[in-house]
Amino acid sequence: MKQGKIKLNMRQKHSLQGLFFVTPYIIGIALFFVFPLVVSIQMSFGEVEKLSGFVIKFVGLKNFQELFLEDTTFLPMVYSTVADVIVKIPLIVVFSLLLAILISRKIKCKGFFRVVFFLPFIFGQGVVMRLLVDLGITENVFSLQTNTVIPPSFIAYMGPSVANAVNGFLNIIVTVFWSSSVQILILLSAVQSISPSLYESASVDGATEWEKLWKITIPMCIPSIIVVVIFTITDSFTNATNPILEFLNESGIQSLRFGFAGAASWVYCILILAVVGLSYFIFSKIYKNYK
Amino acid sequence: MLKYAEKIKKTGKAYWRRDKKKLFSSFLIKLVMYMLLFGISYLCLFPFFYMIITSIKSYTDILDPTVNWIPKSFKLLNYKLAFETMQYPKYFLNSVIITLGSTVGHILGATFIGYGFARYRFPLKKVLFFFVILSIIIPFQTLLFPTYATFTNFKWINTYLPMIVPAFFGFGLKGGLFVFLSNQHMLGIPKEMEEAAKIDGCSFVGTFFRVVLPIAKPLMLVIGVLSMVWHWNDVNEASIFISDKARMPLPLSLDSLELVIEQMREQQTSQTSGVTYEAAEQFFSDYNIATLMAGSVLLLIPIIIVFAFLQNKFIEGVERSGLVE
Repeated sequence: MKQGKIKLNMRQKHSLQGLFFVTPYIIGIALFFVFPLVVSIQMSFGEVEKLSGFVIKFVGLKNFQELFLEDTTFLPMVYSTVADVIVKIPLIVVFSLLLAILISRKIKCKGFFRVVFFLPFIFGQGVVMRLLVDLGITENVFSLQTNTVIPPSFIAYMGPSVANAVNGFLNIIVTVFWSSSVQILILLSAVQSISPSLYESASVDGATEWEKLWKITIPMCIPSIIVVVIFTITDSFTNATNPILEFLNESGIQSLRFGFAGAASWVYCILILAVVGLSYFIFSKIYKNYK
Repeated sequence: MLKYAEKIKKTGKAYWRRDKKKLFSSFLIKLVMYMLLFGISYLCLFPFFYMIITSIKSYTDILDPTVNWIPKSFKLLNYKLAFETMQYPKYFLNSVIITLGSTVGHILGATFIGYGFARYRFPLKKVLFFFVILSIIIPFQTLLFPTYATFTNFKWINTYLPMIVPAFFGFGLKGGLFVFLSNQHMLGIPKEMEEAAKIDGCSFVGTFFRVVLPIAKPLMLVIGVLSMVWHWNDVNEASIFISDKARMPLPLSLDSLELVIEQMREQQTSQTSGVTYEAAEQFFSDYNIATLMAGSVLLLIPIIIVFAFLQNKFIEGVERSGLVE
C-alpha cells in the first residue's frame, strides 16, 4: 500500500462503481434537463422580454391568473381531457389484462394474435394516426353508414340519442384498443411468467377458475399493472392527438406567448403528476394488502 | 380408469350426458373467447385495410358514397404521386439516420444506466431515479422552448444531433421510459452469473459487457423496436429542431402534403385567390385522401417490414425476459 493512496472500503467501491454506470445519466441531466427545467419554471412566472438573451421579467402569478381567469379555452379543455383520460385508463388496463390472460391460454393462432394486437402501435404514433383520426376513422370502423356491423335501420329505429350513444360507445372502444398494444404485451409477459405449479396446487386445493384468476393471476401481476398504469397515463396525456398539446404548441411556438404557454404546460404537468401519484398510491396500498 | 374403459366399450360413447353439459358450456365459452379475439383483431387490422383500400381508389370512388370496400377502379398512380411529392428517397435517408442513431443511443444508454440503477447502491440514487420518473411524466412541450435554446447554444439546431445525442444519455424521446424498463428488467436477472464472473476475476465493467449484455438481449430488442417505431413516426421533435427542408424526416413530408391539400381546399372556396373551382377540382382529382393514404402506406411499409423480421424474437423477448419485477 503506497503512502497517500486513498483506501476505499468495499461499500465505497461499490458506490463508485454504481456511480460510474449512472454517470452518463448525470451528464444527461446536466446538459439536457436541468436548464430547461429551471428556465421553464422561471418562464411560467415571468414574461420573456428578449428572446435571445433570456431576459425574463418576474411578474409573479400573472401568467397563472391569465390562464385560469381570462383564457376561456384552457380550463374546459383540461376538464374534457382529464375526464377522457380517466375514463380510458381503467378501460385500457382492464382490457389489456383480459386480452393478455386470454391469449396466454391454450388457444390456437397465439402467434397471430400477438402480432395483430401489437400492430396498432406501429401506426398509432404521430402523423398517420392524426390523418386517420381527422378522417373520422374511429367512427367508420363500426360506422352506421357503412353497414359493417350493425344495420343502420335498426339504430335509426331506436332514435337519434341511442344512435349517438352507441356511436360514442364504439368510438371509445376503438380508441381504447388502439392505445393498448404495449400494455397488452407487458401484461402478457407478466401473466406468462407465473409458474404453472401455482395453478396446479390451487387446483389440488379445489379452487375454481374464478378464484384462480383473482387470487393468483392478478396479484402476481400487480407490479406490471403498476407499470402499465403509469405508462398508460403518460401515454394518454402526451398523445400526439391531444388537444391540449396542440393548444400548448400554438400558444408557445406560434403566438410566442412563452410565459403563458409555460404556465399552462406546468399546470398540465402538475395535473399529470397528481394523477400518477394518486394511482401509484392506490396501487401500492393494494399491493401491500396482497402481500 | 378401468371402469371408464368398460363403460366406453359398453355404450360406444366417449362422453356421457353429465359430461355433455360441461362440454357444451366450455364450447360456448371458447366460442365467445374466439369471437372476442377475432373481433378485436378486426379492429386492429381495420386501419391497415382502410389505408390500403383508400390508397387505391380514384377520386370518383372517394366521392361515391356507395363505394366502400371494393373500389370500382384502381388507381395505382396514387402511389407514384405520393412517392414523388414526398420526395421519398431523400427523406427516407433522413428518417433512417435519425431512427437508427437514436435507437442505438437508447439501447446502449438505457442498458448502461439501468444496470447502474439495478445493481448498485450509491448516494443520491433515489434522487436520480426520481429524475427518471420525472422525465417520463413531464410532457415534452413544457420544456420545449428552453430545450430549443439549449440546442441553439450548442449550435445543434438543424442537425440530427438533438434527437440522437440525448438518447445515449438516457434522454430523448421516451428516453426515461427505456431507462425505467431496463432497470425493471435487470432487477429480475439472477445475480449468480455476475458473481461468478467476479469470482473469476472479471472487472466490473467487463462483467457488464461480457455477462450482462448478452443476457439482456431480449431487453435490447424490446427497447430497439419501441424506439424505432417511436422515432420513425415522430413529428414533434423533428419539426421543432429541423427547419431546413432538405433534412426533414419522412413523416414531416407527409404532413406537408396534407397541408398543401388543405390549402388548396381553402383556396378553392375563397373568393380572393386566383384558383378557380375547376382548376382546384383538377388538382384534387390527383391529390386527395387517396394520395395521403398512399403516402401513409409508403411511410409505414419500412417499419412494418422491420417489425415483421423482428417480431418473433421481439415478442418472445418480451415474454421470456419478463419485464416484470
